[in-house]
Amino acid sequence: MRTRAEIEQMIARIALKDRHAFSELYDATNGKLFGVVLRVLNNRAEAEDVLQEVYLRIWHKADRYVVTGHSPITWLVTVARNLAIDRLRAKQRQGSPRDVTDMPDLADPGPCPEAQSIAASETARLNDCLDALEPDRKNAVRGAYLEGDSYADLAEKFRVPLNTMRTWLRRSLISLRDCLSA
Amino acid sequence: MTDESDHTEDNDPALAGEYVLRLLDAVEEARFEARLKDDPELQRMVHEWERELAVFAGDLAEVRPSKALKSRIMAQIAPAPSGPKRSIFGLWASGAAAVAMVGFLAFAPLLNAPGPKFHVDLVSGDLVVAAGFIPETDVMIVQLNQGAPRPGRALELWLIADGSETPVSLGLVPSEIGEIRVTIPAALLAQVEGATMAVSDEPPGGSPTGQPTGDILASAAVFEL
Repeated sequence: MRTRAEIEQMIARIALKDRHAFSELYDATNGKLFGVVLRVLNNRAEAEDVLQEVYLRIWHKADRYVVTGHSPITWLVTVARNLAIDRLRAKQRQGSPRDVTDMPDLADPGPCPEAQSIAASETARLNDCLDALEPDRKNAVRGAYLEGDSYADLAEKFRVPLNTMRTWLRRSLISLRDCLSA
Repeated sequence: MTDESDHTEDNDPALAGEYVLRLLDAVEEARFEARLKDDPELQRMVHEWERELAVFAGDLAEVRPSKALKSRIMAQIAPAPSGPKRSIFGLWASGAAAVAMVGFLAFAPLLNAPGPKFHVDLVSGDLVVAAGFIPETDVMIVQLNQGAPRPGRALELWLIADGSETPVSLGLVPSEIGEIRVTIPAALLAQVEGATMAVSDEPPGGSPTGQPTGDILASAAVFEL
């Protein structure tokens, strides 16, 4: 992984349509972003399709990066995850429901190998606040983020009625927000 | 906390979290986005959740996509196409690729002649220089698309062939926004593939020594179209 400053430089040059910088950014980030997309879609061919969309979006929207105020990797991960979930929801609308039993288990997060790319203090803070939640609720938030679970998916996974799931999750978010802002 | 409080509209932080997690249904999402457009406070909440929740992605292992994917993507962003790649113009026209657009317009009159096979973009700060090379006709096109030489100075283009460390001058970049087309020796054109190019700051008329004498302002690898 390249440093934050290097990736920021690449994005700035991509905003000026520098294809060489784009090629470098691809080399530096494709493994991470493919990991994100593949986790949501759980299908390599579809995930590669979406990854292509992700990089074309980056090419065309690099000038939007500064507006978000994010670290570069946060911006890239957010773009990748959103496009993957767009594809997932489109599939669900076309009536191919996901078999959640096929999804890889939600492992508890080990030590973060990307501590250098996502600020270590941020990671520690979120993990502390997540640990203050009940384990099921914490896993529901992670499932929604990493696997793109909808309320219906989560309700099925945790075997609770949909409305209960929604109430749970909203309360978890409020607790998280209180904890993160404390 | 009561159920009512969970569902009131003033619970924006949780709503923003649901939005970022993509848990809202289509109607709720559209309603939220309509508010988000003009509400900086809501935008701040969304960015905050995006930043915080991205920590989850730190737990994910990197996975390599197939090698062919990169070529597919690079082909999609290649400029100044000739022949069957022409459909890419539609993509540009719809995109915000202003700089690339300048390149396209400038190359457009040549659409029926052979197009550039090699291309390089030299970008640094305000300066945007592009060069295209047409092996069939030994033509080099050099464009100044943005920026200008320093006052009283000139911009010179250099070719550093693959495996070589000695720059060879390709001449001057236009001093104003615009392009020049020149024929260059076939032997020089043969070295373009795989080369690196650079732009340097030089006295008027170019380097007196045959080697760059001023600052190297930008350099980049040549790209095959």
